[in-house]
Amino acid sequence: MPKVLEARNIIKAFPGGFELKSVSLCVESGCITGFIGRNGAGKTTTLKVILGLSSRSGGEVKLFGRAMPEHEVECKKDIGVVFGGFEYYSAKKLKTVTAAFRRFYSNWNDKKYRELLSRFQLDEGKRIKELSAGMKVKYALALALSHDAKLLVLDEPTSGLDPVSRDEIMDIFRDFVSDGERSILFSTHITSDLDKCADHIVYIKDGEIVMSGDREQVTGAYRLVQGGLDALSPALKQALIGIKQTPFGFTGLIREDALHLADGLQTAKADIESIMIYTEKYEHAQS
Amino acid sequence: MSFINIKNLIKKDLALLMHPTVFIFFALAACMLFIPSYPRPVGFFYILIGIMNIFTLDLQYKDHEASGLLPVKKRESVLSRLLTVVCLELAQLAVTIPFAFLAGGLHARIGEANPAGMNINITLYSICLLGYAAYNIIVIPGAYRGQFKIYVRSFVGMLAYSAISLGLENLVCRPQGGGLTLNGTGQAELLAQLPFLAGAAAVFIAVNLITFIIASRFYEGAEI
Repeated sequence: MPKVLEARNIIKAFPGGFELKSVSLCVESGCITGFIGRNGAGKTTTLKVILGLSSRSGGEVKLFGRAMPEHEVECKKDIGVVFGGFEYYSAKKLKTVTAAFRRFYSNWNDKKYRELLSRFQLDEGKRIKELSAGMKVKYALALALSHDAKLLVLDEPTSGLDPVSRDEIMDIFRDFVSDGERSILFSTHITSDLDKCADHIVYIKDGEIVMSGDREQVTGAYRLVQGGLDALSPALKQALIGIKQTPFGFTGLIREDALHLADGLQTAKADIESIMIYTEKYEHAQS
Repeated sequence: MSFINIKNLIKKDLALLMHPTVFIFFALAACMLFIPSYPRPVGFFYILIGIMNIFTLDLQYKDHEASGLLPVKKRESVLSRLLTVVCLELAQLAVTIPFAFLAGGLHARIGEANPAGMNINITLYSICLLGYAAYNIIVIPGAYRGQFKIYVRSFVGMLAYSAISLGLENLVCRPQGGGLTLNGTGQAELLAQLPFLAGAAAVFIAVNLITFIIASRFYEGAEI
């Protein structure tokens, strides 16, 4: 599948010590790519660098095969961006904001915009601050979808939303990519959203990509192992990526290829959330 | 740079960031020309508060982030904002011109020169242009640098406007400072003030060009 977004070896250092360490990721056409990591792991910074909102000290970014920021204007015409909800121009009415923004997109489709407003039950006469968190996300999506964006870049769009609203947003995402020509890159720490719709997963930890690939591949490469403390041999302990011990036993994350070390123990499929938790929280098992 | 993008960005600024008090400030400056005894440049000061409001609303509404996501170049964003500010300043001057004729005629009929400062003439407008240029070069680049410390910069910019305009007004009112010509309201004196206006306009354009260059450089390297 053709690549819509390619970021290679992005490097960026901050005075406080945090840095993006050679971050690479790509988004393929027709796919939903989930960008996961803890708060402060570097998700928003990476997205900002990709979009040219933040400078980088190394690496390259290509959108639709064109280099950024050299082709910033052409690239941004085909992108819809949602950072959180729509937190801009809070005291302004939706119709005022839309009127100001639509001028920048030659391919703005007003009929589609009206349809989306109706579908999302958005009232144009309302002010931004009068919208709920879910409605703000929907308004941002309506703006992005009305100029026929080929790529949606979303930074934690479902944070703070109730489960029903999140599920609704996921439906919109799946609908958006259904023609196979449009893609979504969205960052989140709500991993259950990714279980529902992501095709690919990119996992960033402390400014470094630690996992990247097809969702099934990523989750299929790990298993959760459970057993009594007496079953925790030194070799198994060494092989566990993360381990949670209680007085009654242990649960740990292990790679599929090291599963033979857990013969006779209870194992289960690992989901994205458990991979993330065991990698982040209980990672020191090997030390 | 695209003319259409700049036009659209100016429209966006006017629709989303311009506070309605700007129109009150326009009217205020016109009304203040009729005060018999008053330091004239003060009436033209208030529009600077309206301009400051644009930058504070920019902060409040996260306009720099929203604009950064639009398909425009960063330099276009800076130029459009500068042009918005310049348009408001020039509009402020333009709006008062008919009232300047009226007020000038009224003061002449009463037969009273302004004891608190200079008279209403072309020099007054030239001085305001110089004050606005100083305000712009202090405030606008700062708005695109780092943490957007707009309140402090606006305060310093307003001080600069006050110092330049009131300083020059003081100079103009003295006979040895060219006051007889520059503070006059007769036809010959007004004609003689035109070169001063041309010079002030040239300085205004040059300073705003420098403002654009500095602000663009800041914005290119800014973390939005």
